[in-house]
Amino acid sequence: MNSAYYYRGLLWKELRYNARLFGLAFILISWQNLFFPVIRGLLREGVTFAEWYTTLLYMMNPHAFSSSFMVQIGIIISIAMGVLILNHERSGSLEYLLSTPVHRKEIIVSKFISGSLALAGIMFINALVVVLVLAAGPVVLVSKTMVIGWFFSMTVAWICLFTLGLAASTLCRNFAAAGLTALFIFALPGMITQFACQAATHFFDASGKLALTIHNSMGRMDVWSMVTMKAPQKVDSVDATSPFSIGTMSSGIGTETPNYFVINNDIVFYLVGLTVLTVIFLVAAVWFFERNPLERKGDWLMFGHFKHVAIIIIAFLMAWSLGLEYAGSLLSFAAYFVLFFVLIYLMFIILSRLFGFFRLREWMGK
Amino acid sequence: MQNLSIKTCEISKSFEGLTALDNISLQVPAGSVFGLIGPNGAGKTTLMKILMDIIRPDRGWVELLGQSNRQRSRIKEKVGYVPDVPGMYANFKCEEMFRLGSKLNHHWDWERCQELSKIFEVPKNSRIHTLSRGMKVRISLLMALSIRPQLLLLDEPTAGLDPIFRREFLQIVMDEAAGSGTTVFYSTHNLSDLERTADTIACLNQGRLLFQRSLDEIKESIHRVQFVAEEDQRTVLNLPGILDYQKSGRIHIITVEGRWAEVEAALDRCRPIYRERLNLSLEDAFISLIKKDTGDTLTLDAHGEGIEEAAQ
Repeated sequence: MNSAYYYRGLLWKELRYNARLFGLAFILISWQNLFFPVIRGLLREGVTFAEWYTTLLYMMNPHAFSSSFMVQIGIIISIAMGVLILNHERSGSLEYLLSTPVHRKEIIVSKFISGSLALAGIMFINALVVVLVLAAGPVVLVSKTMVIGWFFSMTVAWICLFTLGLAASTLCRNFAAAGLTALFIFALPGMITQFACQAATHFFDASGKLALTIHNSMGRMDVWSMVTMKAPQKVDSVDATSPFSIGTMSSGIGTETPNYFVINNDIVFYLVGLTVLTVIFLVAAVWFFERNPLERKGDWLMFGHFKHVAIIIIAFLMAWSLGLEYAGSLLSFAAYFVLFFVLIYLMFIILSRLFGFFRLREWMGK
Repeated sequence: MQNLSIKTCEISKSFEGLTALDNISLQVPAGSVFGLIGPNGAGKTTLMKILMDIIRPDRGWVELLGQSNRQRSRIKEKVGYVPDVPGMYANFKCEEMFRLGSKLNHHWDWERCQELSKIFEVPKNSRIHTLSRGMKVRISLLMALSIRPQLLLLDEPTAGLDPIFRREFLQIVMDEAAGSGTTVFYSTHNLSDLERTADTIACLNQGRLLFQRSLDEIKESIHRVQFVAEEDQRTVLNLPGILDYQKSGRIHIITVEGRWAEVEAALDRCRPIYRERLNLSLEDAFISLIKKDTGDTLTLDAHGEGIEEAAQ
């Protein structure tokens, strides 16, 4: 029997069993665009069509992406979907799946396909409603290319984050540890970019222009920037001190017709980058899952305990910022970072032990 | 050459430094009913999961029905598996589980599924999470049998089942073995079930294979004798192959391993006044072998200490 037979069965299972999860994701991701205006309209609380129209128009503007509700909630939902779609199997059903003739790779790939289909479906419905509402609006300001660009960029971004969640879930023992690990991986390139910018100005006394150039070139690798489709800041911008300001670029609403591809020159790079990241995350997910699908005490479960993961990540972040604060050179930063990391890590471990000790005493007292 | 349904070669597996299985080599002949016994934590479930490639061994390899159990071969199309805790999709209805079973195995036999559904009285429209453990075991067995397996692996399937269904369960499994020539490999703590059904038995203890013998071999090689002897306890305890020793007043009760003629000859050295061979159940034999393996059988030191402890 070829793989197609098993993929069909697995896809049937994924779509049927996770229908509620996908439904919830649809409601949350589409809340601002579809449900909120409709519900307020039904309750006669005063969202007018014009307001809705303006909201959707605003959303189509790439500069508003990073701050829009849809992007913020979409990041969390996509990662959570990726984590949950595998994590629910740990309650015992994975053992059933592994006892059938399906390959481990097929289990992960079918989860990837079903989640991707669901996210693409969610974005398709959103795009369709956006097109209909904007077409019915007073002035047609949105081109087809723009909506198609918006649909593809968002879909690719959500699928990338979904795959990140899936990969994290294959690595970790529980939902919380997997979610935290995925968020950490998601934020890490941004932190490195920030570090590079700060290092340039802090340690090497680089000009604001150079720092911005570094930010723009490194920031292209930042998953957050990719997902939010943040356009690189103009190096000639007047405000060079804040690397995240939009500067003098047009917001796209009003007299100018916003064009997605024209405004954000990096869109192609982002789409390719996100696709490459998706493939990397998927390969990692398959690789981890093939080696450790179920074992609760397996070698690969290095991030087994949520508390331990949390302590490592908090110590890392605090050591990073404190290192930047006190260091005067790259070398001293490395030394400070290691020192702070070890100290903070030990501090939290001791605190957690003490907390456990007092809790035990309290329990014994009772 | 004997046709084998299961062949394992030097399987070892450890979890975070704890050895769960140590160098296990088993051979299960095709068409046989093979019982796996051992105390809790002996490694029975780990072995079952390794056979099904649910977890992977650190060393060694497994062949099921003459092929590697690794993924490429899709050999699991012919293998039914009933785990100790049936893992199913909690929100699926029973019928949806059957549909999933049929979509993941092209050997699925709907006729057999319907027939067993009636026998097991499966509530098709109930969701899995609403069912009792017993019903989940029934569904798990039903799904395993509906693929018309050549090999059936059962991991303590009758634990927690009521006696009526336990008997019914075993009957169905035995009918399957007799009717279709299916090899049955099952682990259990219920040795009386095993005594009624198994051809061959393997015993695991602390991850090691203690023995693999046919039921007749076990019965012929382990004996329990009570006797009154002129010789003291030291001589009795120095008998070869002794597995277990108890003393009640002047009566020595021993469990020994070896051929009966050899045991009789050895007993004569104790100059018995009275001797009687007792019936030994599989459970008694099992307990004696485990005791010996864990070192619970006392051996005498130079001063004869330990005898009193054994007598208690």
